[in-house]
Amino acid sequence: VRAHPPAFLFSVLAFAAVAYFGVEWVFASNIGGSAIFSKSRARDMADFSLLNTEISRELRHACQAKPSSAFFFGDQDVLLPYLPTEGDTLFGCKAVLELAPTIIPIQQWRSCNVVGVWEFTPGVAHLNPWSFDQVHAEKFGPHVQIRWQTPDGKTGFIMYEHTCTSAK
Amino acid sequence: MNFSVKKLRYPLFAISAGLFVWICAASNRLTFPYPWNDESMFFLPADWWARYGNLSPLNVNAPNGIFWVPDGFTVWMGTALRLFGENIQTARGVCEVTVATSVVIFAFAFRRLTGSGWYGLLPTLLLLTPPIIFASNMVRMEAPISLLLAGAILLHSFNLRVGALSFLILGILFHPAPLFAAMGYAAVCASLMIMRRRNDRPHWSEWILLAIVVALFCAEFIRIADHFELFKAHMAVQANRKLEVSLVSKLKKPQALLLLLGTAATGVTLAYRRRLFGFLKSLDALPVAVMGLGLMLYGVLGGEMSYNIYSLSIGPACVFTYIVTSLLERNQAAIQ
Repeated sequence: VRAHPPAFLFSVLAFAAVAYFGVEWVFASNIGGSAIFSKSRARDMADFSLLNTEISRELRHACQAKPSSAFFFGDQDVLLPYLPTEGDTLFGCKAVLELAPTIIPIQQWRSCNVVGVWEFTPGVAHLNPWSFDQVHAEKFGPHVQIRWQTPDGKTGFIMYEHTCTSAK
Repeated sequence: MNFSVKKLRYPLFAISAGLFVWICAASNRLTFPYPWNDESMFFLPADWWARYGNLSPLNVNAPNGIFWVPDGFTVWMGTALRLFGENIQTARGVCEVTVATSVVIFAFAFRRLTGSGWYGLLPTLLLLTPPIIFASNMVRMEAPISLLLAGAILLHSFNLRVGALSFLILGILFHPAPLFAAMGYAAVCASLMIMRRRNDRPHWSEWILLAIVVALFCAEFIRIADHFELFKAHMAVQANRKLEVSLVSKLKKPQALLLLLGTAATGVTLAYRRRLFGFLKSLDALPVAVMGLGLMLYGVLGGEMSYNIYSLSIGPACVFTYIVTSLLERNQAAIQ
């Protein structure tokens, strides 16, 4: 067995490691539609903060108008952890996230006090709830909608209130 | 003075590596990745645990518990939230610090395994990459699992193999991602012990660690047995979701190519070591490579972007450590 000079061995291995490091920073810096050190990150954060403010305002208003309201968030919700919840309570009303394995029965969705919330952000842009209007409408029954989106249309939400709730 | 600076060089590098990951993660908070529904799915049950101390989170409509994923993350993150504040910012901070700490531990483990600071630096470089930063910014189980993996490799570097295996098995209580790594590691270590017929008695503390992990597993199994129908229903939803993407499309991804390359490189290195040192000695450093390949395999089969930390960073770093260690041993043998 012939020994390699340590400097040579180190150079070869270092080249491999640095090459891999470089390739990763070029090709793995964009994952799932989000890019590291993206130029739009300040705007994206501002949009998310705005979404939080707008939804909070609508939900607080809905809860003040009808304290027995229950907010049901759709399966793809990202915002609920960022709202000031205490367990399953938000602004004094009930708030529940529906997940694929914990489906909320349709009868509950159609209860008069339920307010349905769906949002979209750049992270789940492909799930823009506006394209699911028909599905939501069937799930929800007769309703009124509150829609909001940022000027660039990348972030927004849709809220459904039953006509029985909004009439009061 | 000069001596102490030299001694501090590597620890400074390791800590800087951790800081680098933490600073990059903090600079890309909420944008790499964007907030996504997985965080709600995992944060809300943890928040419930922190507030009420039970595993029946009504905030996700699960009065009888969640069974699509083990409860490790809920309990771990719930405890952290209880200690540091019940909000998502705390959860994100905990995940960032956990991944950064794991990078520091990996760096020390790699130095021990390669036996040299300069060579330990090289596999650590593979961890200073976007998938690690991506994982730091997710409120998901990749953070505690990366810490457990780092702990496992560090224990392995001290030849505490039962302890290392305990850490890998504990990881499965957070997510099945370390499953193949634990199986592969256990198989290679057990084979080594049997073939050598040596009395490599594990340290007593390793047995205690293993006993604790087994007890935690028993608790989880009892909970599953108590809610078996719900477990089946939740797992059916999970299985359907996983099967939505075909295996063929997963195998067409670069992660699969990397797994193939890693397996080939490990095979060639193993054959080479066998020629140099004989069969038994050739298996010495193999557990680390098997651990890495197991993680990469799960990343490929799982096919989700959150698994890139395994298939693009930690897995390749482990395989690279194996190759570096082998070449250094070869060189050492040649010099002697």
